[in-house]
Amino acid sequence: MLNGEKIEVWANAHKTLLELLREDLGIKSPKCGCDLGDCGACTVFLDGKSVRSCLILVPEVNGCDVVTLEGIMRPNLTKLQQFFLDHNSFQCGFCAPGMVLSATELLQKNPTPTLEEIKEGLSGNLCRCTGYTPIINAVADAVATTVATTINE
Amino acid sequence: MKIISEITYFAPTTIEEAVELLQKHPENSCLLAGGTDVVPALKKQVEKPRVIIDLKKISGRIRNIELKTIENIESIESIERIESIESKNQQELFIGTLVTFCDLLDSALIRENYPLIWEMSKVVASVGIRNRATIVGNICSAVPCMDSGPVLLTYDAKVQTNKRIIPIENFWIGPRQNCLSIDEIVLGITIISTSPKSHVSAGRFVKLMRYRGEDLAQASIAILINSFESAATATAEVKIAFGAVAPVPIRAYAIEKIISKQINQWDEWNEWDQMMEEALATIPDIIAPISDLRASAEYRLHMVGVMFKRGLKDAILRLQGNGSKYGSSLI
Repeated sequence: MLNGEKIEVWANAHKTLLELLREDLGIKSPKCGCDLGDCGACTVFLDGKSVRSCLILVPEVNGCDVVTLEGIMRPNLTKLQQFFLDHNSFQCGFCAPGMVLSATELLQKNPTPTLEEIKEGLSGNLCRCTGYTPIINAVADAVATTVATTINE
Repeated sequence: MKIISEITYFAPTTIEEAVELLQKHPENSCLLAGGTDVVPALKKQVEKPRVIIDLKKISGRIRNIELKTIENIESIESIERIESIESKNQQELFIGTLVTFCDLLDSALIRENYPLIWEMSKVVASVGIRNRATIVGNICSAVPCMDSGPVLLTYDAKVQTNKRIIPIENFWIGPRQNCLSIDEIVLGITIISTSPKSHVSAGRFVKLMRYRGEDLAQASIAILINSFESAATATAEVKIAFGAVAPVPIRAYAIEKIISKQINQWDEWNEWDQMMEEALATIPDIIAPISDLRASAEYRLHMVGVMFKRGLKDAILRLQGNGSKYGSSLI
């Protein structure tokens, strides 16, 4: 399954999931940064968990559920993405898909992370432009706003 | 980096099938679990297998974390007899081959009973890696900077394969070299320890990195203290192991001897400085750090001393119930 749709692909065993997504399937949100699993730019969800698609061989995902950023942000931006927009969190945008997915996973597992926990949750995604502050602020704001909304309900 | 070698991929559904495949392709096959070590090796052409055997479709024990009490140690045929203080209250932890670091972090069983494994898992790479990387894969990679090695050494872990049980100390031969034979597959890691009813244990895992967040260890240390109460006396044993400062993770028996002499004197802090001096003096004979991209040998040697002093103090405080939270940073 890819973004909710069942698909069938033929690929060589030595092709990575990242290569398949970008080159064969036109899914451009995961990026090739370091290609070794350190930078997080290639992050996708595999069976609900964030993984490095550059370190996964295509045959490994046979029968699995792959979700990329495209899969969660259509038809509308997610609430979390709106916070990133409002905080001007990204500059070149290269790290953005990985950051959004990692932050999404963080908040799914822990809806009320502390600042330290936010930093830890995003520590696998490297950013060369922003210095991380606006990205972390967006997530912290999302947490605070959600908490405030829940309390007021 | 594209992987340039042609690969045939197999996904066996049983261990026996996997072993058969290894026997059919003895020279150029590679086992695959999480892939976070294997795939970079393929890209960098450090490994050039023609056959990849993916273990992830195998069901059974290798997917589990199990903890069971051993009522009578003779009844377990495959485990060798362990000498211990209270042989009746033994428990056996089994961590299967496909258990990821995230599985270990999510496991209350691990967090409560084996806090060093939990504390170590927290600092392995990043979330995206931990969701796939397995602790068995970590030891099989045999990289000198592996995080799990020092911790498993302090727990006197054993590696269970389809052929035999290997004490973890004998598992690594050198950098990137483990002792497995061509058709041998690790099924899991076992740790036999005295159950909490008769002892209290605490410890500290410290990993020195260039920065917070993900990095390979520049140096690491695991300290485990087991304290036993019996009718007659209270005794304690301490286990210490270093990582990333020798060709393989290494137990510091010389330091353990020095500290163990003081086991009933934890409160006598005025003895502390002398004991530390003695212990630190042995470190250069135990470890053999190298200079590389991440740190110089001198820095590693110095920091290991700092980590040992702070780590031991924190481990003792944790044993007494006053230490830092597991997972908090120390350096």
